[in-house]
Amino acid sequence: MKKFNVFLKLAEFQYNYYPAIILTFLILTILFGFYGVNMGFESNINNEFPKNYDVFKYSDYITDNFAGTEGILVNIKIDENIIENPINEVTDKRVIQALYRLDGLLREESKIVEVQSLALPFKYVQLYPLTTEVTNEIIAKSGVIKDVFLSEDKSATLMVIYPQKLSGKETIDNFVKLVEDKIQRADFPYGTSVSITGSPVLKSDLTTYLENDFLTTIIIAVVFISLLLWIIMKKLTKALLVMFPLLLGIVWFSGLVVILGFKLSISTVATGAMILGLGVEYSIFIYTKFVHNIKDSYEENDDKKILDSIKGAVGTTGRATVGSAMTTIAAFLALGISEIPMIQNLGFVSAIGISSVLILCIVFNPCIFVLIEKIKSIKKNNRGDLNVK
Amino acid sequence: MSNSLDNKEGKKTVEKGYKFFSNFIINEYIFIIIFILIISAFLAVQALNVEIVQFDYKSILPETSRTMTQLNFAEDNFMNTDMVNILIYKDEKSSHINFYDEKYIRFIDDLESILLSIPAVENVQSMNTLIKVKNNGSIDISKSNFKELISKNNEIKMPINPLEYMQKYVNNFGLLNDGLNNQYYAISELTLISSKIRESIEMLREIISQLDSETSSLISKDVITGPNKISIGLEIISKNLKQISLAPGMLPEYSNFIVQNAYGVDLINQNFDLVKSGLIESKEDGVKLNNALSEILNNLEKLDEGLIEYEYNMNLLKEKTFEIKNNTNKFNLELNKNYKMLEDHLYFTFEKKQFTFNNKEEFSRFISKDNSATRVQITLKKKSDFEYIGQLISDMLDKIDTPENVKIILTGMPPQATKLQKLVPKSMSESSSFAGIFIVIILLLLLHRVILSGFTLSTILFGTLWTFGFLGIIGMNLNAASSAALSMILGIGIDFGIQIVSEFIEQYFNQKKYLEDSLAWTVKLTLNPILITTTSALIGFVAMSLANVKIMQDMSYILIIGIIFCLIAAFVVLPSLIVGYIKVYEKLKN
Repeated sequence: MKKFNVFLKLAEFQYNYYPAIILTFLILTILFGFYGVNMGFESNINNEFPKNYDVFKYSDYITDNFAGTEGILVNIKIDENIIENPINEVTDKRVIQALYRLDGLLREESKIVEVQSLALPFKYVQLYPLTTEVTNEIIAKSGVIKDVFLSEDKSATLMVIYPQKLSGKETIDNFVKLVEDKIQRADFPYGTSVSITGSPVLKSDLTTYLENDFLTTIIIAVVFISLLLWIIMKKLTKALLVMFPLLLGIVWFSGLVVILGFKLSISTVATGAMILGLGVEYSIFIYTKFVHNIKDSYEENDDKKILDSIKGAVGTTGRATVGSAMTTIAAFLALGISEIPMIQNLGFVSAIGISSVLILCIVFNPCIFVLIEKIKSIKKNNRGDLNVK
Repeated sequence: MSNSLDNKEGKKTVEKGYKFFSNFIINEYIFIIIFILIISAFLAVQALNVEIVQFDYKSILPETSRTMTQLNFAEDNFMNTDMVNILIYKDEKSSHINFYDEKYIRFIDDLESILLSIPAVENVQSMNTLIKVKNNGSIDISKSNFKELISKNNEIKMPINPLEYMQKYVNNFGLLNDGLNNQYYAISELTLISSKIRESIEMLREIISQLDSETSSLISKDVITGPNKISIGLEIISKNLKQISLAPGMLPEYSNFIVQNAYGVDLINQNFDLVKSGLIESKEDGVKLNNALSEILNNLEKLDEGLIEYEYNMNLLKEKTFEIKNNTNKFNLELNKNYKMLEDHLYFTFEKKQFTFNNKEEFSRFISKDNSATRVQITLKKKSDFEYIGQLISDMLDKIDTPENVKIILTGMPPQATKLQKLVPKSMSESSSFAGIFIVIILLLLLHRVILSGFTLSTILFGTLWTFGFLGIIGMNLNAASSAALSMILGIGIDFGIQIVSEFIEQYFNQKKYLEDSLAWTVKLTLNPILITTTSALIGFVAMSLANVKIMQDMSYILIIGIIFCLIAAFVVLPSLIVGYIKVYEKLKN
């Protein structure tokens, strides 16, 4: 009794219904592309931690139920390159006055819960006029404020701004812009430099990096893998044909990630490049086998030759390829049992990507090969007819 | 079974290189296995050096990014920027807890004291910190007063409004500006007056010169000779009259009369002497006048010269004043403009809001929205090692007498990072075990041979062992995210083994070739495809390594190293084990 081979059945199905399959996959690609453009990026690494432990659970509780739990840091440093009328120490009255102004300007904002800096002990002091000697005296008596906010060599001072909960890149960026505007208005003296940092800013930066990294790594992988294929196959069109399902695979991957409710995070952002690197194996094996079958075939009937070739490519190589991909997918899915969501997501997202590419390489791309061979066959027949005529 | 390296059709042969490789493995497989075991033992020891490191925002972003540079600066100069929190919350049993109660304030105070006794703790902030600030440095506050404190706002008025000072400065500068304008016009007026004075002096000099010349001509005239002659004439007349009076026949009365006349002439002469001396005196005065006039002329000349110099200086002063005036005008305009701006910017700051503290908002940092929890924020000193301090704080929290119905927990990024660090090995072993089980099942399903499936696993066993050994040598550690690379290496690396073993089964068991032929054909048929797919996979990983997110870089490096070692294991360890197995298999078969 002949063994039932699902891959051979698939090959026959592909041969018979290749236009419908191509059309369906292209429609699906458009659909996934539509979802893929809304790809979300997770910059809050707390969301990547396991919530079944109190230390993580209550960290979220604090962020949600208390105000000003994360500080935006403002570093005020002396610019050592200034020679003319330099500021030697941040305890210079001009810096203190500017800090004081900034403190006041920031407190105007309802989004800001608390501001802490060297300006604190000057709240009860006549600030104009003020001498640097008086400033130094006040700071010297400020105790813990001096210890926390003044560097040992007095070349820098720190201001910590505690805002209401800031979530989302846009909110954080707008807040940072607001603080920058206040710093501008506070008019720090020439010879000082002021910079903003802190975990909310890091989160915003991280989102930018994630967005850039997702595209950059994919573009780099596409370019270099295409070059490698071009070198190996000696023809750009062949290289592009092998790359085609991978590119669609990235679109599928992006769409499915959004549909299934995942976000790209620090652990998953560059999986696109990895999927391309691993997926090219599936595409190249099927393509090479199909081309090999077409060339080595003694069959004179073009349709039969195409059918046999597709059966050889999908039926045998496809089976081996799926077997090979299954180990990779299985290993990725094994990450899903980790109790750390960051690792779970990496496993699931990578498995989604590899599966997308595998499906496209096994189901979609052979249909493209059939289509190309059919077109070639029609052209050949047309030329034959002309020659006869 | 074929005994040559030719395939069935005899069309294709394997190159000498593959044959050499095959013979080498067959002849030296025991040596290779021993060598590999020694190397693996060494690398296994090195692998023990690989540590799981903490994972937070600082380990994600590139060090070169501006934000990270600034964060590192703050960490190096001020404090550990990651906040540690102790959350004090009601346990499940209690229905409601109010942290306004004195016992909680006392408890937090005790907790703060304990925390501050830890050298690595820089600062502790809690609701007590705010109570102290708003309650004259004391935490002794009744529940009702505490509630009242939170509901009202604190206002601290500034002793002096800086705007007032600025305003005074602007006003004074305006006055200075006006003064300079007045000075400029005054100097112009003075210069004009000076030139008029000089004109007058010129006129005066002309008059005096004329007077001087007239006086000179007057005093040069002889005023003495004429009166002297007159005087002599008068003497002669007097003498003649006296002689006439003595003339014979002169009647006495006539003679007396003449004598009287002679006396009269004498008297005239005497008076004329007075005139003469008067004239002499006049001449002397004329000379004096002349001298005085000359002196006046000299002085006028000097005065004129002085006025010329004065006018020159005044003109200079006028020019300078003009310049200053223009500059101060400009500055005044700027100053007024800036003042307006400052006024806009600072008015609200200093006049209205600057020192109005919203107490409720401030306390919301430390008391939860529903008043059921409070937190104590701990700032650690710069470069402090939280792993140690965290343990210290945890131990202290275990010992402290907690009020009834409340629980305390240490949280924040550092405790989370520590906890995650502890979870990683468990996660790694679980996921890699599951990956291993999946892989074994797939191998058995694909290869249908238990022993060869087992040998196939050598690709990933040695590959991962060498990878971790290599990581230990180069000093690279794992973190929560990059630890996932282990399972990924297993999943990707096993493919090499599967391809080699599948092809070997095809060549040796299905096509019934000799061992050396089977091995040579296996290598020939799998090497190129594996190299191509490995190269493309490596390109993917290299692209990953170009990501800015550091964690992706770490993961990609581990994957690159892992895949290369799996590839080496697949073409060195696996063929040696297969040869060993086939030798035993053939011996048993024979």
